[in-house]
Amino acid sequence: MTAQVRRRTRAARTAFRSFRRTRPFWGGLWCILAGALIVRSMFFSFLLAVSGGWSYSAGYILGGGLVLFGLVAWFAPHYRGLVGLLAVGLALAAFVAANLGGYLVGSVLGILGGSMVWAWGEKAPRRRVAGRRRAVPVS
Amino acid sequence: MTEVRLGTRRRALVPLAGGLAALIAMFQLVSSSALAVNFTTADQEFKLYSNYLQGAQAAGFLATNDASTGQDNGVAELGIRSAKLAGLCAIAHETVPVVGEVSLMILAGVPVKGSFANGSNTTADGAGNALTFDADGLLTGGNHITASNLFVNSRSLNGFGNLISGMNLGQSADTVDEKAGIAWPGGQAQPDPGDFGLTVDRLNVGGLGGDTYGINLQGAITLPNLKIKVVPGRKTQADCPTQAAG
Repeated sequence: MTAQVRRRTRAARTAFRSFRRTRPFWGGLWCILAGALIVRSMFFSFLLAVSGGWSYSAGYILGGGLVLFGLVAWFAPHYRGLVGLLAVGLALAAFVAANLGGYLVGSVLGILGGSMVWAWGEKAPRRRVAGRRRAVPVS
Repeated sequence: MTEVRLGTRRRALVPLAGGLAALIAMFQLVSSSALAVNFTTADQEFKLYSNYLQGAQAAGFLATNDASTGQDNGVAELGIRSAKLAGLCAIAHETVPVVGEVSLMILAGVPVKGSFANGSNTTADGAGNALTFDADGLLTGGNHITASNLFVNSRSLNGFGNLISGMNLGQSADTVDEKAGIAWPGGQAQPDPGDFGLTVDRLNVGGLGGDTYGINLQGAITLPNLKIKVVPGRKTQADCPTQAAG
């Protein structure tokens, strides 16, 4: 029983690790968090957001865009170069338009996440460091 | 080794540095009142303090406000066509897991006094500098916050009226916006004909403090000397001067 549970958790951890290492995971995560913070700082009812104009809907549009770009980075990493830079732009726009970018935290996280998504890719091969398991062989 | 390592490359520093530099530049522009920002809140309770509010063409009526807790609160909706504020100190409290209670403080303009104990001390700011007025009783000097079409819905507002003129209490609530030349923002509670409404041509209030649920700026606001701080613990108005100085 416990052996089975251990095997299952190990399988889940391995799956999660390969998920993380084949896409800009952390950059996408910061983008999603940044978007969530910006939406949270301007969290109005749907009716208000639709009828109230830009000052009510900006949080949903800019924060929602950041969440969307984070998800694109995860599930369509092919577009990382584009969505990374767009996420940086959205995070900057949110500072002006959406409550100082979710009280500043959202903008900073969005810039960090967007940069990380943009810069994700093949790293230069590094000389092997003894005892470290940083490298993942692909194919 | 012919393995491919995937990960965040060092070139991430390029957009990171560029983005943060742009953010700092925008912060500086906002802080020196060159860039106006959009600031809207609706359901979070804020404590709002200012040394002096100078408003031209204001209108108000009573309404209900839905808080995010689902609770309805009776509030006064106040709209001001153009306003000048000597110092702004907004405090919101929030409970964050692990850290406990934190206070979000937004400070702008001159420092706000630690208390407005009586009406006589409202003509100096939190740093002890006297506010200056011209012959007509209007605020002079730089570093004041200017806002146009400022809408506040608050549970309580208090202050010391310094110079109020052209006040009309009891005007039918659906006509006050026209009188003041403002338009209530769409989506919020709208006044019903025959309800209590008020209009003021000139509204100058010293030592303004309020429990507000929402600030809505249809126009732009300038925030000189802007500081945004998240500080642990429950901060009150008494912390405004020290936080503005530090």
